[in-house]
Amino acid sequence: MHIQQSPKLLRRKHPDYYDALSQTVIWVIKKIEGFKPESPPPTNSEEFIWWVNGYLAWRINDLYRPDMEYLPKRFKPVRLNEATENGNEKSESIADPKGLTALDDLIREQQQNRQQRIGQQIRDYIEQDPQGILTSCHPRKHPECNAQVLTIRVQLNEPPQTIRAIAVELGIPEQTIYTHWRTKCQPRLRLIALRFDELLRQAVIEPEAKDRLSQCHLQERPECNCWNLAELLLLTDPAVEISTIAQNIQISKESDIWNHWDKHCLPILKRFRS
Amino acid sequence: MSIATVLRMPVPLNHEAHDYAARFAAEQATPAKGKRVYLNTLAVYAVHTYLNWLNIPTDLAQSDCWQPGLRAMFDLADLAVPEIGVLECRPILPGTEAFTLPLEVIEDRIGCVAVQFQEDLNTVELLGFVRAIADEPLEPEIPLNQLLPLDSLLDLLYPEAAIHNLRQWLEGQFGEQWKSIDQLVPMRHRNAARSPINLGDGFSVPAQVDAQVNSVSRAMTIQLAQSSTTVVLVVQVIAIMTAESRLNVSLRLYPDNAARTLPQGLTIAVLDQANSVVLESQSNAETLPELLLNCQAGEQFTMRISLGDYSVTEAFCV
Repeated sequence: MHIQQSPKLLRRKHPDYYDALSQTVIWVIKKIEGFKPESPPPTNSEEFIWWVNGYLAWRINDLYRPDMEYLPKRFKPVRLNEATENGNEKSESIADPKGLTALDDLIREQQQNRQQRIGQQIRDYIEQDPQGILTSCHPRKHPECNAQVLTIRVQLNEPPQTIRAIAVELGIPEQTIYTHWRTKCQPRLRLIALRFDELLRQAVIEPEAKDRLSQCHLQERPECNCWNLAELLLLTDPAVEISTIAQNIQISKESDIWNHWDKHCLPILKRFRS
Repeated sequence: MSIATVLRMPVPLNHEAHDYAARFAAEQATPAKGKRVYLNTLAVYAVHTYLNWLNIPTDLAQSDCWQPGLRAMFDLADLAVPEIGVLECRPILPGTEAFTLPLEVIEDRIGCVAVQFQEDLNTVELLGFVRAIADEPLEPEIPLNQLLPLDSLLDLLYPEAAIHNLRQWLEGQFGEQWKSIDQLVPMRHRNAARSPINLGDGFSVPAQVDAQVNSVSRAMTIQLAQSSTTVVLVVQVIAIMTAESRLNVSLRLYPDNAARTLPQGLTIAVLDQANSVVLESQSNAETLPELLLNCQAGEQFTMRISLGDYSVTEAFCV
């Protein structure tokens, strides 16, 4: 039996009805987990739905209270006009969720309402490759299989092309392209993407973040700390290549720096960004 | 009404989920990319809601798909589960029988949850789960009929409550806590630990010429809390592929690297479903405890290791 498929379950058209239902489910699970023999939940399915409705009715009632104080903070709806990331979207709240087929129109309309979209900025960057970072990144002997060509085909094209199809078309072994994509292109693309995230770049220079970042370094290599890496990779223009960093601080394996960045530095930055 | 039934319910997607999805989709360059981001966000949010029902904390802010740059660049639907790893949460559209994972998500994931969407975007259903085999990338093509039930996701997230499924071992699937013999068993015992079960009466390979023998061993450490001693449990599974499909299982205990011997009186026992002891073996100066079982498909048993008043149990199914 599924509670939500029961025709007897209380339903309302309130936009936050599913919050009330979510809270009810949490309550039901707690009741079942902590169930005491003297007051077990009803086992008969009709009585069970009445029992659930009893709690749900109160939560629905709360939805119509003017103060909305009952809502735990994490349930407080975030409206589009509260979004501050680019600060230029029109102040309007999203409509109630439409069905799957109506989604294209809804999204098209909302994209048009934004003058500056990070998705568009990144797309432009890939297509123009202003610093030549992508075109210069290719397997030896195969300049035609560079990071720009691959990114356009794998990430931008609709539908995306598979590595196998690209391999057949360019006459290059699939494994060569796959390894190149995984080890060379993806890490570079991740850095490019992070550099477009203004709030993340701001997080780097927050004093508390700077402290945390400076203290976190590769074992026995204090100069290879997260603050130095974040500055070189995210704030310096143009970005310093990891291979150059590795050379300058004499670390033989570039992958050690990538690992340290992904596993230790980025999580700190994400924490300060949010 | 059991908790398992409650947990098979569709997951409601509240206003907050749709607000996030709409905001993230509006940042994208094209409507097609926007739609993908919208559905990815809802799928991640649904799994986040579901895990929170179970009191399993999740961290949206640490997930790559919550980073504007990364979600614009890649096709991401990851959910960070602190202390455990990263789960991929893939939206499944109505009428599809398989799904493809993009290259950027097949590595570094502990598994993938398939989230079924219908025309009505107010609820979704979590269809099942694929688990990554230790340190191996996920298969990029996943037919829906190969999904494991959600219970196996809970086994992964609540390892201490998991029932160790020994038949999955033969397919190379082990829980995180199971290590190789070399990692845990001290050098001086390794040969013994690796040696095959001493096939006694109940363990002989049937005379059929076709019988195929397949064996796998794994080890895990078990803490005997009161004495702060740890011991190593080695479980060996031998499958003799005959029409009956029975599994032979050996359970052995070894001291860990820090100790030369096992504590005196350490007992290993196998209990049946009514919690009665069916087999028991105790350590003494000469021998290390060992139990041998011959199990039918579908059988369950509990192993108990005890020392004095302290005991610890692990559940297995075949």
